Amino acid sequence: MLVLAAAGVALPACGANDDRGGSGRDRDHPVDIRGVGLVRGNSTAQFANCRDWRGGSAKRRYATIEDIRGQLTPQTSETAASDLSDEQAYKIFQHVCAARFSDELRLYKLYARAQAFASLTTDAGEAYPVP
Amino acid sequence: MGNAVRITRNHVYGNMTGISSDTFSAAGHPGFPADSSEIDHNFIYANNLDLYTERPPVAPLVGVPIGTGIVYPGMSDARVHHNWIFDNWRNGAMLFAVPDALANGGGAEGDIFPGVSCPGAPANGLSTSCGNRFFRNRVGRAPKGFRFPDAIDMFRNTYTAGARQKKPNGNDFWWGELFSTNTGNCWFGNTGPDGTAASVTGPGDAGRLPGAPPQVLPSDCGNSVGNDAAAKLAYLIDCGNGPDNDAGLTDCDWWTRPARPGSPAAMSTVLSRARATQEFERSPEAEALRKRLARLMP
Repeated sequence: MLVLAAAGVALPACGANDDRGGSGRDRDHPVDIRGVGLVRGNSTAQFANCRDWRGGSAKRRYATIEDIRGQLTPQTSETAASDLSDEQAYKIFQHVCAARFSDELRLYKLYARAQAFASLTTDAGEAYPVP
Repeated sequence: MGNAVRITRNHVYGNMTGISSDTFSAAGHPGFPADSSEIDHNFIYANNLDLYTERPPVAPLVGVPIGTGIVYPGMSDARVHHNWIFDNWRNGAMLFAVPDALANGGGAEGDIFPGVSCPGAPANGLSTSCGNRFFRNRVGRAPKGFRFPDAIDMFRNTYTAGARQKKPNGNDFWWGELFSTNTGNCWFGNTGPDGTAASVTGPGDAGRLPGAPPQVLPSDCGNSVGNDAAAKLAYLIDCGNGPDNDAGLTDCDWWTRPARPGSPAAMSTVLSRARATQEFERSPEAEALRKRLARLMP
């Protein structure tokens, strides 16, 4: 069952991006809303899938992205910055989750793979333009 | 991701991808990079299941390429040998690198033991996809007297029925050949559908000599280096954005079931994609991609 937005619940997800390139929120001001999907360890990153994504509000979707980004940040990192901006991630999730087969696709796996090549991409949410 | 994982004496069939061990989706995972996997004496066949459909009988959790026997993104020092790999309609096995800079969160959690995998790693930022060896596999051909198990067509999986031993893969060995620092990857002693090494196919579209297919898989382990294949990198970037319905000639094609190898549709697709990737390899976009990549390297 989805957990509704809980005011005052701060995600423990290492804050957020720095503000370079507008790619995230200020880590000193963590979101106060839970991401979409099943909660485990005060996080939805592990199980959130496309079905959850489609059922969430924009705020909860961004909270999900922030949660995932934080969970995928190495402990040694001083920031949860990512080459994949939250806006890019949002577009990718929207694109992939539009497909009917995508119900169970794990968002963190989608995020991880897109992030892996983000520094080689140009346009937001799009792969490097190929003919 | 894991180190020294051995998979032996199994039948691996009827999946979208038979075996996948990937480094680049394991953020800061201890043990980076994955290495020393061994896949031997298995039968890996007919992994052509399509779950990217309107109502999939089994819901996919992660995106993997349909029609593939083995996928090794970012693996080092693997040994894949003495397997029968056939009737996988895209690739028998795929090998490609993931630079440390592109791994999640900027690379590994903790130290990378120097010299374990790629020469110069981790200082040079390329710790994955070196020293892998694929040898003495029989590809594109089933053993004499082989019979598919009854469950082969479960969930509408497709396969090449009949008693003929020749059951080709779409391509036997796909190699990313992304970076010149990917050393020591080699393929030797493998035999193809007609029982000879000459009938083994690989490493996939484009590469070092994009205008002159067919390409050649390096067999000399001591002198094997990657070829800065920009088209393949662009392809993998697109695949990294997950399943979609894009169907351009250089778009990621992992999400649709390939045509049966040898069919007119399959041959037409292979030729069209080869031409497109060769053109891309010579394009300003490819050059820009190489420059962007070069900036990431230490």
